[in-house]
Amino acid sequence: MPPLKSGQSFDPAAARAELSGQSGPVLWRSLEELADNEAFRQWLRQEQPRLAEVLGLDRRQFLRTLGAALALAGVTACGRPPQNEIIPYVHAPVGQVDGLPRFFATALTRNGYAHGVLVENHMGRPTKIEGNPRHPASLGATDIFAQAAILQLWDPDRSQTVRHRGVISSWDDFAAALLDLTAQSGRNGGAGMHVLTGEVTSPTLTAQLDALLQKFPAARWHLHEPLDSGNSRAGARMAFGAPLSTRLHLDRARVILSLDDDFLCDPAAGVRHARDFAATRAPEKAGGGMSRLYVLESTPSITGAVADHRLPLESARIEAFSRALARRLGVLEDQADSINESAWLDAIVSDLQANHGHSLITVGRSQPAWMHAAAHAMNAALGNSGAVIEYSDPVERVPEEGASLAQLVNAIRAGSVDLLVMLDVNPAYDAPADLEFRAALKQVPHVVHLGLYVDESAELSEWHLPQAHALETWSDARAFDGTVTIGQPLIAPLYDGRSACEVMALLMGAEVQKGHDLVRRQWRAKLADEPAWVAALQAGLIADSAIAVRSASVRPDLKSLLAPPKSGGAPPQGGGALSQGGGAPPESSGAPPQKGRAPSQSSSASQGGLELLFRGDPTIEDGRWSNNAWLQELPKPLTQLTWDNAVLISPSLAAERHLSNGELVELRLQGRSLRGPVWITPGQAARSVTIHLGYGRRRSGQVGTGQGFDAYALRSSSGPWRSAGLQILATGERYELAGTQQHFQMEGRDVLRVGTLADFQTNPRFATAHDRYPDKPPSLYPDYPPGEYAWGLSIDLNACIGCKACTIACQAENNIPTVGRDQVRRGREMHWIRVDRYYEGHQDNPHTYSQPVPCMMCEHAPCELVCPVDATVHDSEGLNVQIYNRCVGTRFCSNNCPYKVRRFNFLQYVQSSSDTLLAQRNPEVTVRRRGVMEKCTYCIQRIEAAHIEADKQDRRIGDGEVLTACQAVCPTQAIVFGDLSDGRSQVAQAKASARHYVMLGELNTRPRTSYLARVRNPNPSLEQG
Amino acid sequence: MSASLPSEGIEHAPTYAAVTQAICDIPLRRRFGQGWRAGFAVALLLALLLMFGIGWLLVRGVGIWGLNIPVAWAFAIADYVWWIAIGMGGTFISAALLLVRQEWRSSLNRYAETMTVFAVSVSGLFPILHLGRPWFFYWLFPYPDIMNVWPQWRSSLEWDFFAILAYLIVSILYWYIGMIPDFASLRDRAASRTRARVYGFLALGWRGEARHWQRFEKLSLILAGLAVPLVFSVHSMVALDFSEGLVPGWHSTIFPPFFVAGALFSGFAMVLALGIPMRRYLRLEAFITSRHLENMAKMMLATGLVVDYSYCSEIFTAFYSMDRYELAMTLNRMGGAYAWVFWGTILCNVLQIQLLWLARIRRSPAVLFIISVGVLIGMWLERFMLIVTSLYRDYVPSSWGMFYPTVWDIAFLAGSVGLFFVLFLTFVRVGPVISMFELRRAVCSPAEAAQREPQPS
Amino acid sequence: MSSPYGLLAQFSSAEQLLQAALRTRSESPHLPIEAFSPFPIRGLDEALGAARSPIPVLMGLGGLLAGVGTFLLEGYSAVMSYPINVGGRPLGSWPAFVPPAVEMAVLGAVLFGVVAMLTGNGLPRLHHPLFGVPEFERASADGFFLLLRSSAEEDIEATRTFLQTLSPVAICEVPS
Repeated sequence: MPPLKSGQSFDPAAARAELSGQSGPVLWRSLEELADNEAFRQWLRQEQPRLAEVLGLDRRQFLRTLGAALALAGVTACGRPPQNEIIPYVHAPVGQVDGLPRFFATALTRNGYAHGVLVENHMGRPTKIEGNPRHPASLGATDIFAQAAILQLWDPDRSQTVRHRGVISSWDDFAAALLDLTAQSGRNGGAGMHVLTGEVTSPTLTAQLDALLQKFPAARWHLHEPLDSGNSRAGARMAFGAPLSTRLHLDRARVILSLDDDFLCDPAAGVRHARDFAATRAPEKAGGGMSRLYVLESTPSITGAVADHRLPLESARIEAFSRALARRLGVLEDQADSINESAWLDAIVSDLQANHGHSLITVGRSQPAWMHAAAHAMNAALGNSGAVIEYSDPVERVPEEGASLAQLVNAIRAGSVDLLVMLDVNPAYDAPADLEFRAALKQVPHVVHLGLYVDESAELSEWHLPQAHALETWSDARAFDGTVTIGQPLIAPLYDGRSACEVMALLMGAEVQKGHDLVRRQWRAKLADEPAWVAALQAGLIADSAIAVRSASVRPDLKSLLAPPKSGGAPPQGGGALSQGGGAPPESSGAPPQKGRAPSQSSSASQGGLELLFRGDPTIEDGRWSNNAWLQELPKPLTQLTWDNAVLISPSLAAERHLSNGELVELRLQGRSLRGPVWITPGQAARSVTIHLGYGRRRSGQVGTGQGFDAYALRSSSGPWRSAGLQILATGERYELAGTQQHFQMEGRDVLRVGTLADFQTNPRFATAHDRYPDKPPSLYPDYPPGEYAWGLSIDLNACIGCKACTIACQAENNIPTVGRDQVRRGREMHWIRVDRYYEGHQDNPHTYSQPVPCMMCEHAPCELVCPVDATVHDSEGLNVQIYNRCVGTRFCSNNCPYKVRRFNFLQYVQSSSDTLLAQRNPEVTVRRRGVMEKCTYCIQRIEAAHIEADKQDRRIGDGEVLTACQAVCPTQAIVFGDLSDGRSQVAQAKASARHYVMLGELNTRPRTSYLARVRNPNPSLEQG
Repeated sequence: MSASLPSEGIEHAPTYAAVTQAICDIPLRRRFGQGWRAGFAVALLLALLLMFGIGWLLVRGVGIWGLNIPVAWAFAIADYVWWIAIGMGGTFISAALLLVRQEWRSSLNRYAETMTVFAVSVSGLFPILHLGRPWFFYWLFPYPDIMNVWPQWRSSLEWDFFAILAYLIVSILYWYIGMIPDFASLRDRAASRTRARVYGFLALGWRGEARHWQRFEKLSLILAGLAVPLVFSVHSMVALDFSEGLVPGWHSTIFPPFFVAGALFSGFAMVLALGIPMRRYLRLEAFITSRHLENMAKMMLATGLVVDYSYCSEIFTAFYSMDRYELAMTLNRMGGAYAWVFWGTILCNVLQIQLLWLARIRRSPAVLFIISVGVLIGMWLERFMLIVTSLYRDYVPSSWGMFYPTVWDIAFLAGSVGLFFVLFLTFVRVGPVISMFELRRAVCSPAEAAQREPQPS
Repeated sequence: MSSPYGLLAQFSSAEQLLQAALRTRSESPHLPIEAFSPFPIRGLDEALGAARSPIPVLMGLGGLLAGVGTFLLEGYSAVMSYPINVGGRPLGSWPAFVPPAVEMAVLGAVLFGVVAMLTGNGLPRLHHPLFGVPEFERASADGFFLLLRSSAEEDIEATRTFLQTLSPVAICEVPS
């Protein structure tokens, strides 16, 4: 896509019009353009008294002091070795060399599913998390949450002691109290004893739950996962009669249709999906073997952004579309109501059928069960079952009848709950508003809460137990495919915490109490001998523990199940109720209730009303990460906002209601209401309004408490994902959202280059076709003699999905501080690698592109030339190095950097107060003080480590021996780093690609970082339209 | 301005004694009343604000200003360029006019030089305070370092460092040397003993011996000869601080001459803005005559026109080159979020000075004063425009961002003005505001003048 | 009484002082004469037989030293002492070394000049016998003086009579 819309030829008139900010669609208004309008300036003057901002980062200072107070416990604790597992030092553990990091394999769970990771451990301090290359859900990469987990481990706000009614107590006291309680309820078979957990895949915990229910038949286990997969589970039940788990093989798909499914962010397998999907996106592959992705979604997602065709549709209309699709594929039999998107339907259907056995239809968890069922049937009809999509017995512990949160609340109301044990859940915050869980909780005589933080639920509990972090305990968990990883502790519990398994053991009064023993006993059969156990620990997974794939046939009567009600049924209320979260909807019996039925297309959305959609926040999910500063400050992948959630509305709705970014609106739904700032989101379905869960925490920590607004306040158990009948009222007030990107238009500058597959096939070098100097512009200066290595980096924009894992991995590796909302508003965020996002095309459904931008390591670096003190210079291997302790902070280098990748410590951002967070820091990387410029270094500390290793063995550094943090974490391997002087190196290969181009090459800065142009694979029949 | 009669510019030529007395009485006998006290009080308050600001800056860091990425330079640098430009005017007037033997200069050069010295001193604060770690500013100076590191000579900031250093020292010496004979006059007329001592100390025991005068004149002449190119070179360095960068709006080889023109422009404006009230307050109309003001006005107009030409050529270049980035930057300036700065500059530096074509305007001190203040404002706006509107939208649209000043940005600007006036008002109170020995020479009889009129030997 | 420092004759105008100086010089060439005026009088220094001042040469020298010195220092530090790749530019990128050299040249010249002027004039010299003469304070306003140094007691009268012939406004003795 040179030319990008306006193309090479620049139209001054148009530019003037746009730049004046007075014209052009409201959507493109960036903050500065807003500044043109007097009202905004007025407001800015009143609402943003600069003095207040100058006088300080109040939150940070608060954090600093409080952190210091809390530190003592942490600092003393982190020296302590685990009691019995880690071998005493005198025995010189294998591979331990003082000062050198060691890596241990373990697992982190997300929504209960295991992600295999390797944890870098510096002399007993876990400092960085990498993916485990051998783990199926990771393949060496991780998502942003795994990266942030290390900060969570060292979070000074974590709960540190047992609390009884808020007063500090001890485990012994709790054990004693628990004994009485269990004894009471034990007499009548555990009646009144209820256990509430999140999704459970841990074999140990599953066994414990079984044992518990065996010992206390009358006891109940409830499942509560705010972002649950109940709909898909129910869908599987409908389709197969059993809640089978599905497994996608995107690498085998040629055509993918996602019905509101953000499969690249799937909590269980997102990372794996990304890798598999990227594998099908290389246009170089013979025969242009590039897959085609269709996405229908209501609110922009990462998956939608990489789609070849994206159709924004209200959630309800997606149902209608699916129904029409199902009928076309012979899965439904009924007279159809017409849909407006028939062109799309035709194109998609023909494409799907043309790729029989190589296509895939996926459905999002926010869509109702019947759609999931229909999708299974359609995949079967398309011959994809067993090929692109496979089924296995459930990976997670399937909840039986009456195991939902709603039923728990009913039981409480009925007064039949005597003892409630909540393991690592926070329903007092994240339960749907209509359940009024907080009120219910107060009725329970005895409540026990295990959690990492003293949160909203802990406040209301009789007993709060500090939970040990995943990196502090023994545990086990299954990956999306059932592969088991034994989680081993990297450090003894910093505080007095225990794991869920240990608490369960306590609850049952089991003789074995220690986490290690519990897990070891669970696997005594499979990993009988010690070598097997050690091997499993070293590999980070238990060999062939994956759950076998089984054939699954769609029940023949599914058509009738999905048949619409003869008399127009109730309009679908929000795709599957939470009650299905427990997986115990009547569907399980097979009889189709109204809820499960395909809707007749009578959704309020399609009639001009507004629907409200609930989604997990892109960076803090359902709220469990809200106290994590890295994630709070990580720009949300599509909005680039930090520290806040917003009310996402479509440009057309904004125009209709005269709303502008940052305007506070009141949302009214079913008698409840909340206020939040508007963010106009290109590509949002016209009548859909999206709010993200996870903010508005009443009790989270110094970082998370009180940020944003609480979307749960409008969430109901009947419509957990969407509710119709939303009202929006403008309040006229404003709130300044803190975004890291102000301008989303490329202004016809070809910093990011895109073409279609057709372009690529006609001219593989389309990316540089318009460049004056396709490779190197001439220079007056002689080249410097080549050094031992020539480091370079290549970023494949075709693989990049814009997930921002690179940004946060870099933050973890390089001790990059967070600066807080006010400083981000000022444009002072510190991320060394940012992911830019550009829109192209019409605001209602633009193409969305992501571009990671680290330092370009220019050979003719403009920054170096202007530094008066030699604080940034070039080394012999082509690195543009920054010498922090020589920097006086003129900032000319940043002004002179055309890529604006340099970051400056305008204030003292790094907290030097003694604080557990200090223990997280990477000892290999200098911590920068105030007044110093910093930037991406290609992870020079890793390069140097490799140098030392190679020198010791008197050899060259091998290709792939040095992985930069961003490269290592990238789920799609879009980033390749290595030695350019070695023609066979991966990076040299990558740069040899026909799609290779450099950003702003005409400036003759000669960047060592370069890009591979993005290639879209549109369906010709749709591209016309 | 052609070579002119020696005594011109000074009405009804008085005697040596009268001249000397008139000037000496200002520091020695004159009562400084409300006007001066009030002005000094205000200036002092602002200066104190600056001091407090500096303290806070050292405690918290440059983050107290509105700086960010991409706009990593803003007010402080604008203030710096503004002040040092003002600092160019004085030396130029004094030196250039001496070289071309404009005798009438003798009424102006002293306070013009004074203005220069103080303006340069004030401007020198900003580059240092602007550093992320001000206490390491000396790293720009080449000294044997134990790490054996040196300054990076290719950076225009390094050049600028030397330029400011040289210019500050030279202008101070030039100013002081010129004052030695006048300090002698003050010494000999001081009533109180302490004053006599102080002035005597400053006069270094000057006696006005013929050979001394000879060396003195030689030095003054060569100093002037050096000062003029120095002015040009120094402000060219300041220009290079920007044109060495490749930021659209900065990367321009013709900056140096334009910057020099701008410097003289604002310099003359400041001389007028200071001179008009001063001559009125100190009753110096006899010495600083409307003729002086008119000449200054003419020079201001001339330099102003060069500046205006530079604006045109910049805009022309952008459109002529059709370079995407230059063009976008230019259009941004005219129509973007900071358009008001651009148009404000045009109003102050282009439109209003056209009034100076009218002799009536040039002869009206009040109007001249207003215009020259307008020019000073305009020149500050120009610097702000040059810096901020070039940075806030450069190459990669994703990194575009706004700059909003904080109270501290304002405080430092106001404070620097305050500091300048504290210094200047103090000098007016205690120093010889007009070069007496030159006045004496200027008022001596035509016969002697003819004698004295130096022929190029 | 101790012998005086010399005799001071006051004249009413620069013109007369100049004539007086010329005559004194022609009649008694080897008499040490000093003339004082409130402003530089052209020709007076020649009249007193003052040598051409070395200041221009010295300033040129200072400028040369400082300029060349700075340039060499830059070259040495950038090429020999601390050679490092900066922005891919050559080590000895001499055009970039010129600006500081120029500035330092000017500074050097000025410093030399100022020092030369002061030392040449024997300044600072805060006390001087002439300051003992009340009339002399007019030398910094409208007084034109001629000073004839005379050590020996007997010369005084001769000098005084000679001075009379120059018809000064006044003659006074300068106490040593």
